[in-house]
Order: sequence, then C-alpha cells, then structure tokens
Amino acid sequence: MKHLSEERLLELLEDGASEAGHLETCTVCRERFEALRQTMGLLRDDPVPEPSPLFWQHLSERVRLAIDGAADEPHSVTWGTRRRWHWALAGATAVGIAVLVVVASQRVQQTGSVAERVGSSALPVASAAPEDLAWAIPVDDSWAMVVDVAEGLDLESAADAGLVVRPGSIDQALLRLSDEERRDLAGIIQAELDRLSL
Amino acid sequence: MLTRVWAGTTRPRWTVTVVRHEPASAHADPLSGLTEAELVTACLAGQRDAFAVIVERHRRSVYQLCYRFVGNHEDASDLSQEVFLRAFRGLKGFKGQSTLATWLYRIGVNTCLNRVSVNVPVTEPLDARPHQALGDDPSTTLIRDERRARVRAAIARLPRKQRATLILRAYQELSHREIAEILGSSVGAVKANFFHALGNLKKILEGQSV
Repeated sequence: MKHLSEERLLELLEDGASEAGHLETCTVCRERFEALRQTMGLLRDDPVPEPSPLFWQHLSERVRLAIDGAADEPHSVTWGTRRRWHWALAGATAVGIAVLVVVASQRVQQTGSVAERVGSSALPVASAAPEDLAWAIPVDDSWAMVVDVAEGLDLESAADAGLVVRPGSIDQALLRLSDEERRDLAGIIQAELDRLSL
Repeated sequence: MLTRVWAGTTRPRWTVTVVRHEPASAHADPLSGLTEAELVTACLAGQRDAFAVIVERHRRSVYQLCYRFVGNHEDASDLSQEVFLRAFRGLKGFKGQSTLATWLYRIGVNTCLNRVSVNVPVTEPLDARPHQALGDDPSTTLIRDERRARVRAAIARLPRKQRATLILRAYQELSHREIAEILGSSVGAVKANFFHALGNLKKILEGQSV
C-alpha cells in the first residue's frame, strides 16, 4: 500500500482533504496523522492572554515617544533627564487618566448626575478628598502610586507631552475606579518607570 | 517618591493634577480612511500621525506575534515597540510589493529571532496570567498552565525557521504563501518546515514525558 506523502498528510490536517478513506485502512498513515493532529491540538490550546484594555493605547504612545525620541535625538540630549522623564510619565499617566475620565463620565451619565466643570482653561485641580466619598478611597500601594504620579505631573510637563489639562470630575473618576482598573493604571505607570530605569 | 503607604485608617488628603489625554484617534481621523499605500506616502512626507494609524491597525497582530516568541507580556511589549520603530526607520524601503502586514511580520520575525537567540524565552509567571474563570478547578488550571509552558519551551527549542513557520501558521493562521513571503522561502519549503516542526515538537514533548 502506498502511504500518504507529508504534503498530503498536512493538507488532510489543515483542510480535511479527501484522503480520509485511506486513513481507515492504513495504520501507518493513521498513526502519523493522529500524531500531527494531537500536536496541533496542544498548540491551539494556548491563547495569547489578552492585555489590559489600557495597554493598546499605551503601546501606541510608547511607539510615538520612541519615534519622536529617535527623530529628535540631538535635542533630547539637551533637555536633560528630568524633562524626558516627565514627558514620558505624562504620556503614561495621560493614557490612564483618559480612561478614568471616560469611565467616570459614563458612570455619571448612567446615574443622571453631571460632573462639575470648573472651567475650560488648563489649570491643575487642587482638591481634598470629598467627605462623602472618603469611604471609597482604597488604602493600598497601587492607589498611592497613582496619586503620587498625578501629583508629580506639572503643567509644563503635560504641555510638553501635548496634553490638554482639564479640571473637572477627576475626584469622582479616581474614586470610582475599580480595584482592577486601579491596578491597571498603576501597572502602566510602573512599566513606564521601569522602562526608564528610574 | 513613587509609593506611599498610609497607616491605619487615617484618610489621606491629596492634590491631583487632572490631565485628559487628547486621543490619538482625534488626530488620526482624517487619516483613518487612507489606504496603506497612502498612509506610507503620508509618513514619508513627514506626517507622523499617519504612522500612528499604521500602529493602531497592526499593533495587536504584532504584539501577538512577539508574545509567541517570548512568552511573556513585558518582553512582547518591548519587542512590539522595537518592531514599529524599525518599521518607521525602514519605511523608505517599503515598496508595496507585499502588504504592510506581511512586511511588518517580516520585521517582527527577524526582530524576535534576533532577540530570542540571545535570550532564553521567559514564560509568564503564573500570577501574571489572567485569573482563572469562575468555576475552573484550580488543579485543572495548574495542569493546563504547566502543559502550555512545556509546549512553549518546546517551541523555543525548534530550529529558527521551523519555529517561525510554526508560529506564523499555527498561531497567526497565515497562509503558506504569506509565510513564504515573510520568510523569503518557497511555498513548498514552508509546508515542509511546518510538517517537520510539528514532528520535532512532538519528539521534544515526548522527551519531556508529556
């Protein structure tokens, strides 16, 4: 009996070619085919873990910064380490905050309340945790990190990163973060800091 | 200071600077309808936002490719960034003879193979993986994770071309012709490489008592 070629076995595996009848009568080919099929089964049982939803925008931002950095290399040398650190950090933080604002605004819309807008000018917001929402503040490292980074991000750095600073409902946005969202944000910021070897 | 731990139940008082990022898509909107060739032309004309659109379209597939080679999120992220940076630098060399996706895959495969040839792939630590679904038996999850880790380690031991072929075919589900374009091989060679990759993978796994 003539056995199936490697190419025919592969076609059978991938496309279910019309050699199935041969396998019923040929033990050699059936065993070879089964080995291929089982190995393919192992491969298919391993999906790539889906990264955080924040990751994709973060990746785009990293690429943009890398390209800008490569293109502006002579200038960036004169900027100094601290300035570049702030710039990168502004990008990382902004991605996270953008998501928070969206999350907050969606939830506010759902509950029918309107987040107060302080104004349209680019000003930092200095506020204390509202008394009525104080219960919602989680006390852990990831929360502290988000707050610290937000504190350390000044207007100049934000402007360097091409960001628009908008005061408004950030208190509520931060306070309404779920544990998972907060960990995601802290993770992004930490990854950026690690990348910069700070 | 990067972290702060509050003691006891003392409620912190803090100041937050609010930054709302203007999404890249807002800039990219006028470009989002462009074809790949038009985007490349725009990039070469100095419009960096056009490259942002390219990144947005291909970042998932590039990341997944990189993840298959290195097996962990951090390295896959770094490699993805490197792939796009190399693509940007080499954009002048893109002549449109293949699709942008194929060209990016080619850069991705070369970047990953160069990286993993000097670094042993690091499998994602268990606690970095997604949480198990509710109802999953922990022991089943553990066995499955261990099996996946062994398969990844076995793939890492395949010859370079077989490994690349296997990843592109089995995981990225590219056609033999697309893989041939990416690897600069014939379709026949791709099929042969894939067949032997599966065979070798089985041998390696059996050697590990799987």
